[in-house]
Parts: sequence; structure tokens; C-alpha cells
Amino acid sequence: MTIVNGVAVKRVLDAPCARVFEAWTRPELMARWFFPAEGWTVIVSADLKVGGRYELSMRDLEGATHLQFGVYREIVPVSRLVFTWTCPDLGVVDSVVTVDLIERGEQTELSLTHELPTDPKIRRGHEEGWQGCLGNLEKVVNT
Amino acid sequence: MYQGSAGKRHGVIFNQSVDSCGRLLIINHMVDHATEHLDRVFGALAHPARREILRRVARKEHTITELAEPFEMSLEAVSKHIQVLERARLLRRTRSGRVHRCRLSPAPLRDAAKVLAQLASLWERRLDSLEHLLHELKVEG
Repeated sequence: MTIVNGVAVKRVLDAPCARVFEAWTRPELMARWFFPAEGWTVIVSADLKVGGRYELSMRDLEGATHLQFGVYREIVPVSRLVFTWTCPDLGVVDSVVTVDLIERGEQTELSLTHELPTDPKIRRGHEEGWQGCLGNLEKVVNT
Repeated sequence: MYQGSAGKRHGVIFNQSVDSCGRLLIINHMVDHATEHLDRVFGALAHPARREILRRVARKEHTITELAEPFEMSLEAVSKHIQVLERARLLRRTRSGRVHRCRLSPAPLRDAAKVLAQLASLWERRLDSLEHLLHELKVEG
């Protein structure tokens, strides 16, 4: 597969699909691997349903917080997971990660693609949503 | 880090949903310009004809007529592709009289490649950690 706006990674993992899927979706398991470097801690919340939000709040060795969050777009237990991915540190907003799990005997072949958005208009749609958010904030402040 | 302080600022005063809205707004301002440009670059690269145009202008300067030649496309269609590349700042156009010449402007490609390299290494490291966790879970039974 050729993607020009993203990366594709493949890995064969020594565990059945169900176990790998759990590691990707259960917050207590996600918290044990979903961070970029040794010594970081991560607080995970995940509302595992289509349209549900996940958030990883990562704390680095200096105590600074790094956020990563998104929304689930497709959930097919135990074979497929598609979610959006926003990481302000990297300047990546609303990219899309697709994880496919294929059974290989007792092992699992994991294919991951991470595609960056190709249309600035998509973000304009979100800005409108955030403007709405700001409206809510004003209401709270003014009451 | 700005997210951390933003979280505190809103988190103490307001409820959780307002907190994440406030954070989103701040993040939005911080990353908007850079990411919008990046979107344009990847959008420009997403079309095979535009990639071919880039390959050719990378070798040498071309006029728009020359660029249109190998494609079964009107001059207008090629001009549109060139505009998309210009907006992404991947291509520069110089004009001498009525002749427009196009050449590659490589800096955005380097930025895009840098982001992709960061993502690739991030996932490789995370999958290393995932493997490690799966091993631990196996040992734990």
C-alpha cells in the first residue's frame, strides 16, 4: 500500500488477536505501553464506542504534560480499530490511525497506518465546533 | 507545557467539559498555522499528476505548456494542479513576459518528511512497548 500523507507500520506480535485488541482498548492496559519513552507516566481515558473519545495525558520526566486525544471511528472486536489522533506537540490535528489485526496461528500480525489530513477545510469545520464550545464556556462564566 | 497550565487554569475554575473545550481552543491557536500548511502540503502530494509535476520541476525548470505535454489534460486542468502546488509552497512560478516557468521549492517537503519520520519512530517505539507488555501479560498468565 502506498500512502503519501502518512506512515505504515507492520509487526508480528507474540499474542492472540483478542489479547492485542485488549491492549489497545482497555485503559488500564493502554496505560502500560501507550507512551513514547521510559519513565513517562500516562493517564488514559477511553469511551470505547463509535464517536466516543479517548485521551492520553502523558507526563514526561520533567513533569510536563503532553496530550494526545481523538475519537473512535470504527471498532470491530478483535480485528480493527480506527480512531482520530491529535497531538498538539507534533502539530498533528485530526489525523486518522487504522489498526488491523490478523490472526497468524498463536500470533497476531498488526498493520497500522497513520494518515495525516490533506484538506485544511476539515479543520475549519472543527473550528466552528470549537466556537460552539467557547459559547458554552461564556454561558458558564456568565451564570 | 502549555496544555498542562491550560488544564490547571480552566480545571480549577470550571467543570470538566469546559476544561477540555478551553484546552482545545488553546491548542487550536497554537497549531493552526503550521498544521494548515502541512495539510496543504499533503493534500498537494495526494494526487499522482501533482507528484509527477513535482518530479519534473525537481529536475529542471519547466514552462506550463511543457508540464502539460505528457498528461491527457487541458492546460486549465494542469494550471489548477500547479495552483494547488503553489498554495502548498511546493512550487514557485517566475514570469518572463507571457511565459510562466515553474520550479520546485523543496522546503515544505523536508518539513513533511520530518513529521512522517517522527510518526514512524513514535509508532515503532510504542509497538516495542506493546510487545514488552504482551510478554509481561503472557508471563503473568
